[in-house]
Amino acid sequence: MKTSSEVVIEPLEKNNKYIKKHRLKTDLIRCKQLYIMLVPFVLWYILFFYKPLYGLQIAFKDYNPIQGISNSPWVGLKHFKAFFTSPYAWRIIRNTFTINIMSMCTVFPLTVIFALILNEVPHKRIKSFVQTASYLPHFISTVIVAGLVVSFLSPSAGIINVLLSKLGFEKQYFLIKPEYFKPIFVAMGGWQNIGFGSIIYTSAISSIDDTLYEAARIDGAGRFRQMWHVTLPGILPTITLMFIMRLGNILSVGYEAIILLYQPSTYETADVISTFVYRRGMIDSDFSFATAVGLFNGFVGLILVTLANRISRKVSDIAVW
Amino acid sequence: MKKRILAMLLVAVMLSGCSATKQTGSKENELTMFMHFFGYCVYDEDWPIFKKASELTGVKIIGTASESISDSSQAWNTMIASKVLPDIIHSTYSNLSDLADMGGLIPLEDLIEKYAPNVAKFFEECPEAKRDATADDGHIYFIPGSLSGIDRDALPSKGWFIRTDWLEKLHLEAPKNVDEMYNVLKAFKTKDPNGNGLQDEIPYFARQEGIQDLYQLFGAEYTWHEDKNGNLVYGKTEEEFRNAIRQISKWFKEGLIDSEIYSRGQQAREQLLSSNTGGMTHDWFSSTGKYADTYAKNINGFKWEAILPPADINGVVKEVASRSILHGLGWGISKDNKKIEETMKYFDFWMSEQGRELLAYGIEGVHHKVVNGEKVFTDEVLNAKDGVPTYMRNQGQVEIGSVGSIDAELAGMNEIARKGFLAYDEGGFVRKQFNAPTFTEAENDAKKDKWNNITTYISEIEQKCVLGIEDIDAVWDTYIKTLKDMGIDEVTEIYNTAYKRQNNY
Amino acid sequence: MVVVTKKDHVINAVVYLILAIVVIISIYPVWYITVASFSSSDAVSTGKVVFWVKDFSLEAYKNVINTKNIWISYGNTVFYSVFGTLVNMILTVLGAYALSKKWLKGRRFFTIFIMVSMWFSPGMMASYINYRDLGMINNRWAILLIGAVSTYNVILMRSFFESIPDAMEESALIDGATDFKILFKIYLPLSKAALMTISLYYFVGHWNSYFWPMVLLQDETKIPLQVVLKKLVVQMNGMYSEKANMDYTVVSRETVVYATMVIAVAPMLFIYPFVQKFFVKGVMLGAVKG
Repeated sequence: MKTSSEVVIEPLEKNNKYIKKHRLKTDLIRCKQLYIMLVPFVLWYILFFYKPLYGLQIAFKDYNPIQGISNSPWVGLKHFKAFFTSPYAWRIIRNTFTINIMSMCTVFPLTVIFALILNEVPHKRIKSFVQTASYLPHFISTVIVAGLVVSFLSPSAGIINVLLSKLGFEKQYFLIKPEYFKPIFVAMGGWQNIGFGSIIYTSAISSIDDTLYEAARIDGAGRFRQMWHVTLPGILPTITLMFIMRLGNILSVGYEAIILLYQPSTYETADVISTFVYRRGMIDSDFSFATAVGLFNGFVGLILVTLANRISRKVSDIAVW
Repeated sequence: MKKRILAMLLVAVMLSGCSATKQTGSKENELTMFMHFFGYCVYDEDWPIFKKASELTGVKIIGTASESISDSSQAWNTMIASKVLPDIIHSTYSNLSDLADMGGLIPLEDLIEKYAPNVAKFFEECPEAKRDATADDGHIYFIPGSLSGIDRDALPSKGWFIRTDWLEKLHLEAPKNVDEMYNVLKAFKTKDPNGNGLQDEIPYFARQEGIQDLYQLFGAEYTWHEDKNGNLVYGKTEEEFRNAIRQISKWFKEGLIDSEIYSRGQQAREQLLSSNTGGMTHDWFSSTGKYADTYAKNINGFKWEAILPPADINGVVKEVASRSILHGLGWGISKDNKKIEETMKYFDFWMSEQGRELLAYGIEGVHHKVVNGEKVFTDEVLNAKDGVPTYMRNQGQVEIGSVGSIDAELAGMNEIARKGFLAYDEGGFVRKQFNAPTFTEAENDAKKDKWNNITTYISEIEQKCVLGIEDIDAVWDTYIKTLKDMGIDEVTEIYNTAYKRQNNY
Repeated sequence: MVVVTKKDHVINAVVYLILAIVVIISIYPVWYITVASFSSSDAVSTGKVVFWVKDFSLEAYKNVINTKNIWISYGNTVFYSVFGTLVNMILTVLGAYALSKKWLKGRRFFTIFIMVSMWFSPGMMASYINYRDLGMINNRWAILLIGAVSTYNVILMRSFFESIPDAMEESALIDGATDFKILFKIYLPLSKAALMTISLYYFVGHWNSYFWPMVLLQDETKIPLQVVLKKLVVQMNGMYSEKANMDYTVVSRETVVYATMVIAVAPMLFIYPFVQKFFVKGVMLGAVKG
C-alpha cells in the first residue's frame, strides 16, 4: 500500500541497518516505474553525450584527425598556455564576460517585465498579436540580423542616423567606435530574444491560480499590487531557474554575429573568446585549441552555476539540484 | 559485332545499377574525389568539362563532398573524419600539406615517373610548381596547377578603374602620379561630377580589401617582401608603411576615401556604381570591367575604364597585384586509394595537351568553336549573364592539376576589361606575387600564436590610424616596441628560414 | 464583478503605448525584409527601400523558387520539426516527470548527470565520429535523434511538473494508480501550457537548426530549408571563402536571401496564436478536497 508521505520511523529503529537496507529496497521498488521512464532518456545522454565525451582529451593533445584521437600525441597544457599567455587573453575573457553581464542585467529583466506587461492587456486578440509580433525577430537568422544592423547604422544612409539627424543630432559611425559595440550587440540580442524568451513567462503566468488574484482583489489590491504580490512570486521559481541556467553560459558568446559587426578598431571591446579562437583557427583547423578553450569556459560555467544554485537553495528553496 | 554491343550493354547496365554512393568502395572505372573549396565550389558530376574528360579517359569521378555544406573547412573536417578517405583529394596547399604530414596522402614521384609523362613534363616546365608540391621530406604529395597558364611570370590581375566621363566633365586627365591622383579625387569630391547638386560622391572605394591597394602608391608594402639584402621583412613594420598610413589617413579625413570602406562589403562596386557615386577603384579586370556595360544603360554618359597605374611617390610606375602562376590548389592520391595507377593516368590526362585544352576552352562545339584556326568562345558563353569566368566555372573550369590559359580568360573579357589587361601586360610593370613559404610543423607551432597576436594588433593600429582615431606618428614607437614584445623578430626569422629553404630548391 | 476605474484606463493607455513601441521595433526590420524582398536588388543595395517597396520586382522570389530543392527542403524542415518535436517531447516529458518527484532515489545524481551537458561539449570532431560510428551519416532519422533532448527544456518542464501540488497525486495513489497512469491521466492534462511552450521551443529549435543537418546529410533531398538559406547567404557575402577578394560578381543578392527568409518565417506567424490557445489556467477544482 503506497503512500506519498514519508513513513515515520521510530528513532530507535533509525540506526538499524536491516531496516535501512529494507527501506532502500522498498524505495527503489517504489521508484521502479520512474526508472523505466528514465531509461530512454538516460540512454540518449549516454549515447550522444557521454560516449563522445572522450573527445575532450584532445584539449591536452595535438589532435591529428588521420591518426585519430587515441594516437594523437599528448602535449599537456600546451594549448591552455597558448591561450592564457596571449597578450589578448585578459581582454577577450573580460569582453565575453561583460557582454553577458550586460545582457543579464538588461535583456533578462526586460524579458520578464515584458511578460508582465503583456499580462495586463485586457484584449486577448491584441495580446496575441503583440506577442506574435514580438517573437518574429527570433526567426531571422543572426547573419541577416547582423547585416541589417550594419545597414541601419550606416553613417550615410542608415535609418538610425537619418532619424538622429532629423532630431538634430550628429550622424555617427557607430560600428567603428569601441564604446558603442557592446550596447549595439546586446541590443541586437535583446531584439532577437526578448519576445521569444517571454513566452515561457507568459506560460508560467497562465498557470497561476485564479483564486489567488481573487483573494488579492478582495483585500483591495490594485492591478500593480496584484502583479507584485501574486504574479511575480508565482513565476519566481521560473525566473530563478532561467537565471541560474543562464549563468552557465557566462563565458560563451557566439562568434557569428560578432564577426559580421566588429572591426579591428573595436577589437578592444568587441573581441571575445570565440572570435579570437575563430581567427586563430582560420589558418588551420585547430580543434585542440578550440576544445581547450571550451573546457575552460565549461569549468567557469560549472563553478558559477554550482555557486548560484547553492545560494538560491539557501535563500529561496528554489534550486536546480 | 553483336557480342560487342551486348557486352557494352551489360557493362552499362552494371554501371547504372550501382547507386552513386557517397561512401567509398567505388566501382569499376570509378574514382571518388573530394573537392570543396572557396566555400561554394563543389565538384558536380554534371560538369560538362569533367563529363567529357570521363569520356576521353574512361574514368568516372564521383564527388564525395556535400554541396549543402557552405563552409569548406567543415567539409574538409568531415572528410578527414571518415573511415575511408576518398581516392582523390583536392584542396588548398595548406590542407594538402597537413594531410600529407598526417600520413593521409601517398608520395607521387615514382608514380609520375612510371605513369604520367605529362605531369613530369609539367614539373620540368614549371620549377615553381615542383617547389610548391615538394614537402619537407622531399616527396611530392600533390599536383598543383594553373588557370592562367605557366608561360608568364606575372600576369595582370587587378588594375585602376575610373569614371572617365567624370574626368572629361571636369576637364581632367587620368592621373599619372600620386599628386595628380590626389587632385582628381579631390575634384570628384568637391566639384559634383554626378551633377545632382549633392556632395555625395565617393572618390575612392573598394571591396573587402579596403585601403590595401593604396599602399603601393606610397612605396609601402602590406605583406612580406624581400628587402635589398634579399631577406624577408614584413611591410607593415617599415617606415614606408608609416608614411603611407599618414597620407592615407589624410586622404580619408578629407573624404577622398569611402568613409564606410571597412563595412561596405562585397557589393561595393554594385552599390556605388549603380548609385552613380563611386569614382575610382582598384580591382580585378574581368569582373570590374563588366560594369562598364551593366550600368551604361541606367546612367547617362556612364564611362568606366581602366587606367595605367599612377607613378608612386618615388616616381616608379608599378602594379603590385598580379596573378600567381599557380592557383594554390592541387590534388593528390589518398592512402586508401586502391587504384593508384588509374588515378595517376587520370591526372596525366589533365596535364596532356588535350586535357589542358579542355580545361581552358571547354568542349568544341559547345563552349568554343574554331574560327580561322583560332579558338573562339561561343555566343552562349560570351553572353552569359554572370560573366564568362563564372559561367565556365559552372561548366567545370576549376582549379585542378592542369594548366589553363590566359587567352581563354581574355576571350571572355569585355572590351574595357581586355583593353585594361593588355595595357598593363604590355607595360611590363606588373610585379610578381609574393607566395608565402610552406612551414614545417615545428615552425608552424612556433609562429602560430605569435603571428595571430601580431596580426590582430597590426590590424587594430592600422584601422585606428586610417580612421583618424589615433595618429600613426604618435603611436609609432609604441607600435614597434609592442611588435617586438610580441615576437615579430622570431616570426621574421622563421619566415626567412622557410623562404630560403624553399628557394634553394 | 470587476469595476473598470479611471486608473485602469490610464494604466491601459500606458501599457498600449509601450506595447506599440515594442511592436514597431520588433516588426520594422521584419517588415523591411519583406518589402525589400519585393524590390529590385539595386534599390535595396543603394538604400532606397525604407518603408515600402521600391521598383517592384518578383526577381528574388523567382530566384528562390528556381533554387534547387527549395520545396523539398521546405518539406524536410516540416518533417524534421514535427516528428523531431514528437520525439523530443516523449523523452523530455518522461525524464522531466521522473526527475520532478522529490522521492526519486538518485534524483540529485540524475539531475547533475544531465546538467553536465550544458557546460561541456565533446567537440565537433568527436561528435561527428560518434555519429559516424552510430550510422547516422546521411540518415534522416539521425536528425530527429540528435537534438532529441535539450537539458534546458527538461529542467523547465520539470519545474512545471513540480509546481503541480502533490495533493493531486495523493488521491490517485490512494486509488492504486501507477506512475505512468498518474502522469498521463493527471499531470499531462494539467500541464497543457507547459507542454505547448516546451513543444514550441523544440519546434523552433528544429526549424532553425542547420549545422548538424548540413554536416551529416549528404543527399540534397534530405536537407532542411536553413541549410539552403545558409548557402545563399554565403554566396552573397563571399565571406567564408578563403579567397574572398576574387574576380567575380556577386552571385546572389540580398533580395534573394530576404525572399527565402520570408518563406521560412511565414509559418511562424500562425504557430503562436495556435499555441496560445493552450495557455489556459489549469483546472484544479474538484480533484482535491479544500
